[in-house]
Amino acid sequence: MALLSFLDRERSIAKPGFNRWLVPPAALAIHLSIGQAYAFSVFNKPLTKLMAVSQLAPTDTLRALSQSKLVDAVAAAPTDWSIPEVTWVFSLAIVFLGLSAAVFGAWLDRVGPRKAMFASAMCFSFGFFIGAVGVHLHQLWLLLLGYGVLGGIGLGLGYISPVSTLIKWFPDKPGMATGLAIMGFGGGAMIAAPLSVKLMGYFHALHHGVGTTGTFAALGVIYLIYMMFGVFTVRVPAPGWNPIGYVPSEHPSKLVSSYNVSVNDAWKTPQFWLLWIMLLVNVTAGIGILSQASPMSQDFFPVRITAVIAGGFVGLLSIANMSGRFLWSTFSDYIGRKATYLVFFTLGPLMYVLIPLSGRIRSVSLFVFCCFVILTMYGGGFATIPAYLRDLFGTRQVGAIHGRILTAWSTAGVLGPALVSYIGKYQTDHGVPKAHQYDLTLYIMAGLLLIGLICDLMVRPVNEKYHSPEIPDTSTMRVFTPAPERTRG
Amino acid sequence: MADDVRLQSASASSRAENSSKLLVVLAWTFVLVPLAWGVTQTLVKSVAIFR
Repeated sequence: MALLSFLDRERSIAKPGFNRWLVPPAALAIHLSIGQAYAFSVFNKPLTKLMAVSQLAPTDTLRALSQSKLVDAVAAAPTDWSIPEVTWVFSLAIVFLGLSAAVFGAWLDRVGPRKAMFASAMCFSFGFFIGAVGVHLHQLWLLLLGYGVLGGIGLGLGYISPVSTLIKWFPDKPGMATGLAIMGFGGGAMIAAPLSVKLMGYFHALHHGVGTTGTFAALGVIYLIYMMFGVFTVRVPAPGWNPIGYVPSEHPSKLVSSYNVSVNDAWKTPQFWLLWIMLLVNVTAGIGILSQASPMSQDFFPVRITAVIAGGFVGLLSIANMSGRFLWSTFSDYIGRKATYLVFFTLGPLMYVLIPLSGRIRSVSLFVFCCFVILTMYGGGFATIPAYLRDLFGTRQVGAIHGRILTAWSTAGVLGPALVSYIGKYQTDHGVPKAHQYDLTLYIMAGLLLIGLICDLMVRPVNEKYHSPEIPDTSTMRVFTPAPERTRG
Repeated sequence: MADDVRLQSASASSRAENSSKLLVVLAWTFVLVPLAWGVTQTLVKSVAIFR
């Protein structure tokens, strides 16, 4: 019971002297953990060889083979899971990420970040534990239920839990603050992928098998401990708190509201749906590159780029995705959110059109540059949206509104790959040469971004009838509010 | 007497500030070290594209 009361919002209010720069690492710990989801593909192949490998005799020859070589060498047994079955685990997790973020957003704003982070850590870790049991017993439904459903709920809760808290701690730089946290979601895969490979190698050497059961259990423990750091470190500012020396701009942008809009009213505004479409097209276009990066690079430059080099190129795009989350959202604090998205939706189409050209003139540098810039804007779109929501709807229920808007991500997660594979098949059926098969997809993605541009241009301040009747948002309003606690900025 | 109390208070405040700064450094180290490891691993694999 004592632990449960420790999780209450009242118990997590910062005491005088608390340094607000402790909050971003707490948020990063959560996002770096749940960012593991993007590295789930490292388990795809091993999970399709579980039965085949377990039936092999544990001879010295087999034990001498490294885990990855063994997985490559062995053919799947008839009872083994197929790749489409295994990829459902990740898809289900992403669907539940969007659903839980939308459903639990209002609850999160009520109970505070600590309880939500704790719930996220429990769901995510126990998702791994149940998944480990599912792998051990070779029961796919347990893996789907564990990692897919429970883990997915952990992803959604974890993704939105620190966002509104960071916005409240950093009213002077909300873009930078949310970018710092959401950057972790992009970076988490870069830790999880090599870590998972190393763990599978270790458990393969320890026991006879692929090593995924032990790896799932170990990751459950590692992420539980890591996320608890976030739970114990996070604090919420006292009501009315503002950083020392912070004076809201005398002439704020018309889009920066001094009033709050409730989550139930935000749904009804055109601004919410304009931002929803902007997120949808930005993510769909980004997935268009991410899902094709490896084959496209090899088809454009058949001699120069091999499968191994293409793997490294995809890794480079992960770095672009991560760094874009921090850089673009920080940049938005200076030029404004609307202008930042205007850059995405004007520079983006140009980059998409230049990619086919890079293939024709055989310029690897131009190809890498265009893909890199696109992926920074893909990440930047995710990281800048919370600050845009805060500008339009105030801080009071920004977490819940952010949760609802993430349904655009889930939609893009289904729409993006479907669009890419449908266009690819259409091109193949019509005999388009391999190197030109991507052109139409890229032009369509450029067109989608132009729809985003129109939406961004249409964004206007929220109509006053949606403003909540209670106290205006002091973090964006130029009023004298004596800070109740001195907290270093 | 009043000066002593003020001095003790200032000293305690300074200690609190130092410990807070140390906590911030430790917290950032805790999250940035694994991230730096992951980024390095990724960069090592991706340099081949520039050769």
